[in-house]
Amino acid sequence: MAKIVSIHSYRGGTGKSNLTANLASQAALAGKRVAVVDTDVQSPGIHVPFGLGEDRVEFALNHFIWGECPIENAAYDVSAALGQPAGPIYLVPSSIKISDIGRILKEGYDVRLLNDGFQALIEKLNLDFLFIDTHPGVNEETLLSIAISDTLVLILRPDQQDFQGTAVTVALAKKLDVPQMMLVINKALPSMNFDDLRARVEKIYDVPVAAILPLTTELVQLASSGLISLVHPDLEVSREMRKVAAQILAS
Amino acid sequence: MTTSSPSTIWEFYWAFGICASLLGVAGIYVGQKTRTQTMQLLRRVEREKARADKLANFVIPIGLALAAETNLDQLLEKILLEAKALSLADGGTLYLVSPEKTLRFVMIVNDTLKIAMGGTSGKEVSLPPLHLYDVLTGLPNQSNIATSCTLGAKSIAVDDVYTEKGFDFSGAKAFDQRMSYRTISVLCVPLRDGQQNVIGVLQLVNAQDPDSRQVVPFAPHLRQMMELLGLLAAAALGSYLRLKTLTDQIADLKIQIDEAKKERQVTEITETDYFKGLQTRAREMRAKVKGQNP
Repeated sequence: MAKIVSIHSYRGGTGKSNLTANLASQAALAGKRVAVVDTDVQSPGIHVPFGLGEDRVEFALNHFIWGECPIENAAYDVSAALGQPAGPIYLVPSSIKISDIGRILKEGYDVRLLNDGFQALIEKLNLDFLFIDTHPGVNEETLLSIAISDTLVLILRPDQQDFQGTAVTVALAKKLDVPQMMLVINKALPSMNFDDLRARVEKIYDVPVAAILPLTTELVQLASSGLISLVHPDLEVSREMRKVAAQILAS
Repeated sequence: MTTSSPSTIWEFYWAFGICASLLGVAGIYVGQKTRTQTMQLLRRVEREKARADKLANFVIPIGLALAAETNLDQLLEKILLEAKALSLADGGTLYLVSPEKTLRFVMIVNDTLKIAMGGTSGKEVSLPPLHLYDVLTGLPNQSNIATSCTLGAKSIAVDDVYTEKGFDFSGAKAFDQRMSYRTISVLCVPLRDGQQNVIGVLQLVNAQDPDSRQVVPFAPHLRQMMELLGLLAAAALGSYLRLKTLTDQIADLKIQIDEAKKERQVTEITETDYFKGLQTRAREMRAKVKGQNP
């Protein structure tokens, strides 16, 4: 039975796509058959760390939503981005064409189609794990992704707005009975007391903090152009990401 | 025709002798004057060289060491002790400007009295802070040398506290009486950060002659050197305090959830038909999965 893992953040710019790409890659490196779906149709981005160029993308998630292709036709094998033997990893990108983004924003879409697409993808590609890179905030699409998830990873920065927004998402996810929920605090300044931060956040949300990722120069320099956990495996941020992946794999 | 009588000739020789002597004396005088000037020049060159050496060998390395210091107490101590050692002062005080516009005593040392308070000494400085502005009138406190130095952002040197009329040294005099001490020369140097804000004051007391160890005024070159050290110390202290402020803000990071706002937002969503439908479907789906994997 495939596991669905949603990675969500209440606000944009938290490093959600980057974390999704690294967690999915770690699952593939563990020999699992993995797919990543970029449901952030308004501001797609996860194709960048996987090195999937626009020229290679004939069909995207948008085309599946518009009934122009089955979802597996929009899945691209991006295993080469890992640069080492791994279980296959597929990416279903959202279209980065301005006209496509404009159309989906204007017309909207029936989010139930997404669920059909996820199930079809799991079946057709015989997946072990399906990672969903959600759109930030709370809307019908993100609620659906949360509702169907076996694991929900909520990523947040240590600031007041993220703390408040994440509280709302946690409350909703609890009402949707998500079996496994974890928090990842990103962009923590190295001068912070990580143990204290973890204890306080866990107490407030009653949800485990799977990792605290320090703000890292290398990550900024990489600027999403690669997978940090593979490019710089010895960094603390990479070690922490592997810890999160291990918890997801063990569930 | 002009003839010369013997007496005239004698007079001539006498006059010549006088002139020659005068010239000789003048020559010696001129020679001595040149030698004195040369010696003075040499001494000045030597002093300048010693000053340059002190700058290169002491002030700059101290500045670098201060910049590398990550412990505030040690940093403050280093600033005061290095300045004291360089100027051969018997004592010194380091003040920091507080947000309340006062000068807070952070460290006091005095070799003769064997006093060390603040810094890493473990002893707190219990003296009340000095007000930069009069509490009642709000006027700048120019009567105290340290507050005046802060307000004017300029160094001030006093050769003898007991003959100085410009500042009120009643505090120092009372201290002297209590401790059987004699405060004579004082030098106050402002610690100005990169934004030209005075963040503290370095006060040195009783400069000593390196040979006789007698108390002497703070020499102009020493004052200049302390001003330079003050700049380096302020740069180190400024960057430390900025980092500290940032760290404190992080430590104070409040994780406060506005529960009422959260409940309102959650209710708005959970009461929609869409959410209720999702909830039902999710429950059914999970029950199904549970049934498959008991």
